[in-house]
Amino acid sequence: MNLYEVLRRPLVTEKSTRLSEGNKYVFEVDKRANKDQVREAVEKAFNVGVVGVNMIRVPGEVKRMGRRAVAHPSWKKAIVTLKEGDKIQFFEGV
Amino acid sequence: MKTTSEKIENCQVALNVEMEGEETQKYLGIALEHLARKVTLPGFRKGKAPSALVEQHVGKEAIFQEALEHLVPAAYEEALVKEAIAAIAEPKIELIKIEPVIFKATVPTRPEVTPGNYKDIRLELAKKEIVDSDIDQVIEQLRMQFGTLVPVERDVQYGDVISADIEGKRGEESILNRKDALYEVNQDSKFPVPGFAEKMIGLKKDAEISFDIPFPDDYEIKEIAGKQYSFAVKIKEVKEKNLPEINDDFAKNAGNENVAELREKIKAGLQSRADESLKKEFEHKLITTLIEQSSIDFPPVLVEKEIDHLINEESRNFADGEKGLENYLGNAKKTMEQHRDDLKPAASDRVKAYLVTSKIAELENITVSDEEVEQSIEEMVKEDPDRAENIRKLFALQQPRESLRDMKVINKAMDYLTRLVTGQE
Repeated sequence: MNLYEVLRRPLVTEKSTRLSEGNKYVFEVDKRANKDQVREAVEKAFNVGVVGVNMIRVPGEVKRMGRRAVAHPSWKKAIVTLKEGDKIQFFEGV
Repeated sequence: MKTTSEKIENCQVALNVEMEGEETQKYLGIALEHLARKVTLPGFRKGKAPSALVEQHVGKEAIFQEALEHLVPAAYEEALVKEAIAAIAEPKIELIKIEPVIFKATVPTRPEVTPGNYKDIRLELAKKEIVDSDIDQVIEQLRMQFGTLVPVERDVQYGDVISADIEGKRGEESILNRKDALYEVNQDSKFPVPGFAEKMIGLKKDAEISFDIPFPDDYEIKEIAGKQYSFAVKIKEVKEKNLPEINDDFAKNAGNENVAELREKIKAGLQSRADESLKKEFEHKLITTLIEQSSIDFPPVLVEKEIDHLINEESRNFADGEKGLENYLGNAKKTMEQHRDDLKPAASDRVKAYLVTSKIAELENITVSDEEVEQSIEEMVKEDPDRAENIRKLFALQQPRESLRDMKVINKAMDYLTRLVTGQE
């Protein structure tokens, strides 16, 4: 899998904003990616040092849109802890 | 902040304010925080998104707008203090530039009123003597009201009422066709045509008559003026007006004990009505004179406010308030704008009258004490006990209380002036 396919998008939410104060950044990543790939991708893309990676699978849900049931796919979330002093600026063109 | 001010016409001050970048920046920060508290971004609960994100989301333009809303009034207040201007109403603010913010405010200030030699004005408060003939007239009207119609078997005379079929036409064109119409035969009746009543004189019940008669050349309805019409009249009944005798029974019918009391009551009524209208006339003359000899300079906002006030009052006559007035104006082919223009002279007079009298009150140390205000509130309560609670609540507030006091001061001043110009003081 190509390195550029690993990171899909940064997650900008209240929770992720709070985590970023502890130097942890949250991404949605490809479902097939593993921690090593995420570490490498983040280090290359943002030119920072990564101390740790935690990942979780977010199960998909079936939601009702009016009368129809819509399936939301499951995805994978990665919480990346950076080396102290390193920072990522997501905020352009969110 | 740089400010300059300059006195302009009508007691107004032109105030120029130029803000410095730093000050603007401060307000931008405040505005951003303000917005951040209101905005909902995806991923955040309402108002929880960080400022930096909000700024990107809403854009600089919106923040500026928000900032100006707070910045301009605040800067305006500050500038007023700095330039020592006492504003009496909202200014007109014109934004000239943003970044840095420059605006111009036209500030209305206290009116300048110099009354003329009001102490030298001499006016007579006219008095109308109610004489017997005035009372007789009213009694005559009352008799008419209580009068009854009695059918009689005799020729028609002036003062009778006839019941008749009346038809008036010219060729095929009919202008009048009434069955069993009640017609009062009066010597000077102009209806339907001058001279018509005369033709009725001497006719009996069941008489039929037709005659030609022209409308006069100066008749009000142009289409038929000067034209000859033929009328056909069939008299069905001749009635005499039976007017009640002026006696105690008659007085009782009109709700009084006897004739003397009735006359007394009529007299009192006529007197108070005459006095009132003379007093109004007198006050009007007095105020006009006062305005004429005073120099009054005031900002035009006052007139605008007075117009608002007048329109507000007018609107109350309509069931649905201002909308009703607008509808009404629409029917009269007038816009609200035009209507405001029409009200301008009257409003301006009222403002002037108010300014002059309150200035005189000030010069003469005419004041109204708290007790007096309290007293007049209690009077109002007495008049409308059902709303006592509401009235008391309303006048517990600062503004209504002050305007009530204001009104009382004006009344007192008017009383004083009345005494003064009639030479009683």
